[in-house]
Amino acid sequence: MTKHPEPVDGEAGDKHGDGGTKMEKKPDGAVDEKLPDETVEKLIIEESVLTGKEHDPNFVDEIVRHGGKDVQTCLQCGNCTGVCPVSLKTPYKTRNLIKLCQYGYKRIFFTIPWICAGCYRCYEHCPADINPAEVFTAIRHILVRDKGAPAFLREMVNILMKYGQNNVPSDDIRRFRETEGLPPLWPDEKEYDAVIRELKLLFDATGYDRLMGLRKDDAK
Amino acid sequence: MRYAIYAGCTIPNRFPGIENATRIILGPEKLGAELVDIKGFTCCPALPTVYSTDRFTWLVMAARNLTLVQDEDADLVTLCNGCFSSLLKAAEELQNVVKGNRVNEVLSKVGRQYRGRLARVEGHRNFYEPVHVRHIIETLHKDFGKDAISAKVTHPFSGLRVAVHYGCHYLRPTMHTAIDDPSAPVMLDSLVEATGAESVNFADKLSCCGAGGGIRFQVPKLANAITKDKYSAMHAAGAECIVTGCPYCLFQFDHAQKELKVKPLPVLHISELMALAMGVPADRLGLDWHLVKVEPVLRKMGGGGK
Repeated sequence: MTKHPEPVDGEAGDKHGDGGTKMEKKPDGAVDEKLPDETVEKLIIEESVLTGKEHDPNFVDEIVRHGGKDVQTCLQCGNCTGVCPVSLKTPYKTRNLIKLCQYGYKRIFFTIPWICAGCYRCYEHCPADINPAEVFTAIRHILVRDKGAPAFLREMVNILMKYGQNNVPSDDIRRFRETEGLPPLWPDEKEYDAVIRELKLLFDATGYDRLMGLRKDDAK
Repeated sequence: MRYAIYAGCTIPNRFPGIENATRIILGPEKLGAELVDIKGFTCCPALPTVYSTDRFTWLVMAARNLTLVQDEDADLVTLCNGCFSSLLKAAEELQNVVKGNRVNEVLSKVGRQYRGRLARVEGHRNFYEPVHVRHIIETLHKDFGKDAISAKVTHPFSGLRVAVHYGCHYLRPTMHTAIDDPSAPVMLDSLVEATGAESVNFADKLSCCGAGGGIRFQVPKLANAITKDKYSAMHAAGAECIVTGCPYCLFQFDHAQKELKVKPLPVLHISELMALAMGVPADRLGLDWHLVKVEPVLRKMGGGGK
């Protein structure tokens, strides 16, 4: 007499035949040309849930090890999705992604661009204190360690190691600063070479330069 | 009051006028605080780059920046939401003894040690507290207040309708100390009103500008789509100008408006608005670096005396 409980996930419920209207229609102005549509939902339902073949039992622990919260305590309430600026515009819904983490579906994260805005609205609205933004930060840690850093990030860290800042200094800015009597840009400071040397020593000590693939010579 | 200004990467290199405006309004010319110049800073470091890939390296780099101010009797004032959030988070995480010791082990390789700022001395014991990391909005509001600021306003923006954009990391996450009400903030509105302008209410006021987390560099179309919603809400509320406390949000609003080819809505940093209202000549603020021209705002500025 006990009925099998409905799947927690709303979309799953729909797909399993109670004919509900399909959730999450594309809102106006959504950007989806280059982003695969419905991939996440499809994978949750068809591949991961039914077959379980993509299950990586260590993924949840790995997330915790890299500073994320335990995603198994997620209630799947969807508060995070409702306030997420990225969920609003793309097929990637925060709640679904957390669900994929619960299933240990690590592979999917290799195909998703790094598009968490880090706005932490999900954290403020999460009743289970999951902090999805930090979970995605942990996943980025894992991706970099498994697959290497993406090109845009390597370039940024290169600039950081060269100038100590995220921007390449330009001459008209220098001229304005001089006329207004502002202090020189960091890289133009006297003895800033010493700061760059310090930075390199610190990166060497934490292993960050090797992690970002900036010292291939002795990485091996 | 003594402040050490941490201008970050974006402001000195893209909008040096904001740094100049802040130095003028906080300094002896206007509000009369003492400014300390500190050499040897590096990137805060930014949350989408270093924090996203290695938390420990992030903490070490941030701690290194904090060691430079710990011996000065000064608050570290940031002009950018990213720097503010990164440094504040680091200062609070470093209170954890285990983390702090691990960080100091690495910092000792370059002859540095993070202790924090000396809070008090009892007998022969020194007690330290985290370095005070402040945001410019909070500093202006808490240390000087609306009245002291309006007393310095000589060119009020009477009737200018302003849409304020707080920016995410001014409000969130509340894992570290919140400086304003994270769900109903007031300080930026209050500062805008101190200049004589009117802060209009609009839908989804506390949402993201769209640029955060490296979205701007990876999927600019997505960043602009997020900005467009916010822009539309501001436009619908009849705003004539956007005021924000973050140079990166400013950058995004500027670029998105150009790329989306919408009716231009000038974007200003709160320091710039404040400096203009206090009578600092516009040519000292490098306003030409703003992609969306700010002349419509300047025309609204009242001339001499209140």
